[in-house]
Amino acid sequence: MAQPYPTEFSPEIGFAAIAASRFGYGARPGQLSAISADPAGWVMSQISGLPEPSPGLDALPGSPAKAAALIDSLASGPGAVRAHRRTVQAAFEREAQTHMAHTLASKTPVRERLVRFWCNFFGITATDPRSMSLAYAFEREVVRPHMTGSYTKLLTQAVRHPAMLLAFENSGSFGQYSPAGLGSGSGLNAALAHHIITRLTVADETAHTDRDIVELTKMLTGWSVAGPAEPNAGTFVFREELHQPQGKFFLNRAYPSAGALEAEAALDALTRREPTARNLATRLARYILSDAPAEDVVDSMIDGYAGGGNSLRGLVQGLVDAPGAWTPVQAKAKSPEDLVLSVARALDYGPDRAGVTLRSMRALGQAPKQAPMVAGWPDLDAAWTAPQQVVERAQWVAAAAAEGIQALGTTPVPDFALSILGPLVSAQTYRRLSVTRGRAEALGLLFASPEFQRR
Amino acid sequence: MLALGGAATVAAFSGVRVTYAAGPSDRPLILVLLRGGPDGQALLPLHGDPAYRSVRSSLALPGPDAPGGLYDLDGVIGLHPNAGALIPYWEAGQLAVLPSVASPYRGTSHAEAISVLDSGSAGIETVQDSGWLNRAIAAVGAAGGGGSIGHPIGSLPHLLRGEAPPLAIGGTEPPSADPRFLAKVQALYTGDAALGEALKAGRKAHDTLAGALGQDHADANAAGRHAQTFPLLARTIGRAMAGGTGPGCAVIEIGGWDTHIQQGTDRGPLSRRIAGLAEGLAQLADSLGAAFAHSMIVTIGEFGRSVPPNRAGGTEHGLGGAALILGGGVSGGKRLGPLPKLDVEALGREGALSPTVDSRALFKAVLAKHWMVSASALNKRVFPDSGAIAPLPGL
Repeated sequence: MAQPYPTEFSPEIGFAAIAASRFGYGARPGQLSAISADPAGWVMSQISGLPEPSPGLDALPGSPAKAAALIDSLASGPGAVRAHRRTVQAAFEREAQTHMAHTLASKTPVRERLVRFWCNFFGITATDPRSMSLAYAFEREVVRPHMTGSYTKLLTQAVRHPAMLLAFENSGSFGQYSPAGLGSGSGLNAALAHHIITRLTVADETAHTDRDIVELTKMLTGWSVAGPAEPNAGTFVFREELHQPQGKFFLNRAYPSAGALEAEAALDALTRREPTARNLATRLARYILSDAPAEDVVDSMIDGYAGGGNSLRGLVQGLVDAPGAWTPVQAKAKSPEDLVLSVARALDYGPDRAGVTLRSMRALGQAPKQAPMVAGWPDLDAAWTAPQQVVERAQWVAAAAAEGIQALGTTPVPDFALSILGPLVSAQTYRRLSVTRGRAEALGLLFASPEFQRR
Repeated sequence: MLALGGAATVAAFSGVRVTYAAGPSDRPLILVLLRGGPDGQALLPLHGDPAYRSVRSSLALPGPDAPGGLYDLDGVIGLHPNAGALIPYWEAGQLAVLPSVASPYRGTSHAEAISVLDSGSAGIETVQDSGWLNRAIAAVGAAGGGGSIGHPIGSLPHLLRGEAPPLAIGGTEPPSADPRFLAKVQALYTGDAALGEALKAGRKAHDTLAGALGQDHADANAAGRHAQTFPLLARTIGRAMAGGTGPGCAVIEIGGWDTHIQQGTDRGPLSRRIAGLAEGLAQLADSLGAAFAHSMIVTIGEFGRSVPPNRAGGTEHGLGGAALILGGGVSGGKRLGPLPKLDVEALGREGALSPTVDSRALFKAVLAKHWMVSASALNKRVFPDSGAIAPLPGL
C-alpha cells in the first residue's frame, strides 16, 4: 500500500526537487534527500570543478582527420560528398551512442544539460553534410572544455573550429584587395559573420548595422582550415593570401590592419556588449525556466555574466541566485530529449541503455545533433506540444513505463512519484496514481503527468 | 521480462504487436508488417527519376545535397532523411531495398490486401485461412517444437494462422494504443490548460480521422498506433531471439501508416514514424548481437500509396510499395527487382506506382535462401499454384 499524501514537506525537499528537475534531468530514486542539503550548491558544484573524466569520449577520434577527409570530398564534387555522408554515418552512430552513454552514466546532469544547450546554441548540426562528421567532435573539443569559462574563449574556439569554418563556408572567403582577390574580384562570404552577429552575440537588430556584418566578414577572411596535403591538415589556419588588407570600421570603432588578430578583437568586443549578455541570458533562461523569463531573472544573469568577466559560470550563478528561478510553478515543458533522459534517470538506467535512449529521442522528433540548420532546436514550448506530439509523448511514456516497471521493484508507484518529484507531485495526481490498478499503467500516468512533463 | 527456454512464455508491451513462432532458432526470421499502407515514396524515394519532383510535388523531400535532405543510395533510389540509422547497414552490404513490391491484390481495401499478402494467395478469390509463414514453418519441420499457449486464432496475424502453432503472442492490448489510457492522462491535465487542450485536440483529430475513413482504416491501424515505441520493443525482441534457443521467428505489426491527411515530408508525423521504424530496425539488429550475422528481417506493407499527394497533403491507397531486407547474410547494398517509373503515364489509378516485384517472389527468395526451403515445397505447399512466380534473384 502506498502511504497517504504527506500533509507537509520540508522546504529543502521542495528546492531539491526543483533543482533536480528544472536544472538537471530529474532525480534518481532517493536522491532528493542528498540534494536537499544544498540545492543551489548541488547545481553550481557540477559546473565549478573539472569535467568528469571520460575514457569513452577521450577515445573518439578528433576533428583533424575527419575535417581533412571532409575537405577532400568537398573538393571532389557532390557525388563525393554524398558518398562521404554515407561512409561517416557508422562513425556518427558510434559517437552518438558513446556520448549518450556518457550522459546516462554522468553524476553531473546539470553540466550535461548545459552541454546540450551550448551545442544547440552554436547551430552545428549533422543535418548539414558539411559538418556532419564534425558535430560530436565540436562538442568534445569546443563546448565541453570551454562551457564554464569566459564566453570570449568559448566563442573564439567555436569560430576557429573546422566544423564552424566549413559549415559556414568561411574557408574560401576572400577580400577584394587580398592577393587572391586582385585577380578575380571579391569573394566574400558573409554567412559566418551573419551567424555570429545575429545569433551568437548581440542578436538584437538595433545593436548592429549591415555594415558591421560586412566588416566582420572582411576581418574573418583568411580564417580557414588546412587541407589534406598541407601541414596540420584539418586544423585552423590563417591564410594571409585570402585576407582583406586595410583597416576595418566595426561597431563604431576603427580597427587597424592586423591579420588574424582583427577578428579575434572583434569577437572580444562583441562578447562584452550588453545585448550579447542579454541574448545569452534570455536563451538559457528559456531553456531552463520558461518561454518568457522574468526581467529580474534575466538581469541577475546579465550581472553574473558581466561581473565575472563574460563568465558563463557567472551566467548560471546569476540564474541560481535569482529567487524567480526557484518558483514551484513548473512553467516549462520538457523537450523530447529531456523527457526521454528524465525517464531514463527516474528508472535509474545506466550507459547500457544508450542505444534505445538515443533512438527514442529520434522517434519522438528530436534526433540529437540533427537540429534544423543554423537556428538549432526551437526553445519555445509550442514547438513540442502540438496536439499530435502530446498524443505521441503519452503513448511513448506508456510504452517506456511498461518496459521499465521492473526497475521499481515492489515500491508502490505513488511512493515512487514522491521519491523522484517530492512535493512537485500534486495531491490530485498522487490520488490518481493511488487508485490506478495496473502498476505499469500507473507509472505511465506518472510520466505523462504535468509534474513530470514540465520542469 | 521475457524468459524463453525450451518451451515458451512471453510477455510484451507497447504500441506495437509482436507474435513469436517456432522456426530454426539458429536462423532467426523477423517479419515487420507495416499496417495501413506505408508510403514507399517517403521511405525509399525514387529521387533520381526525372519526374520525381513534378509528380511528387509538395511531398518531394529535400534533395541529397540539401541540408537535412534525403540520402542517395544508388543515384536513383534514396532513403528518407530520418532513416539514417539504416545507412551503415547499406554501406556494409547488409541491407537490400525493393522500391516497388506488391501482392497480387489490386483493390483498395486494407483488410483484403492484408489477407492476400499474409496468406500468400494468388488473389482475394482464393485466399486461404492459413498464412504462408505458418506453412513455411511446417515445411521446415519446426512446428512441433514450441507448443501453443492457446490464444484464439482471431488474435493472430493472418501470416501465422494455420497448423503450426505460435509460441506466444504479446502486446495485443498495449496501453499506448489504448484510448482509455489517453482519457486517464486527460484527467491529469485538468489543471494544465496548454497540455490539456493539446491532448484533447490530438485525441479528437484521431477520432475524427478514424470516423471519416471508416472501419477498414481503424482495423488496419489497430495493431499499434504508431512506430515510435518500436525501438523499445525491438530491444526486447532482439534479446529474445539472440540466444539461439528461443523462437526462430517473430512477426511484428506496426500500425499507423494510413496517411491520408497532412503526412509531412522531412518533418511531420510520417517522418517521426519513419524514424521510429528505422531506429527500431537498427535497435533490433544491435540487440541480436552476434546472431544478426545469421538473421533476416523483412519489412513490407499491404500496399503502397499514390505517388502524387491528394488535396489534404496526404496520399491515397496505391499498389507498389517499399520493402527492406536486412540481415548479416543478405547480399545487400543494392536494389532488388526492376526499377519502376514515376512519370504520369506509367502510374496506375490515382497515381499508384506499378509493382515490379510480386511479394510471393520476394518471400520465396527469403525462405529459399534463409531457411533452405525447397523449390517444390515453395511452389506447392507454401505458395500453392505459384510455379510461374520465380524467387526474386539477387538476395
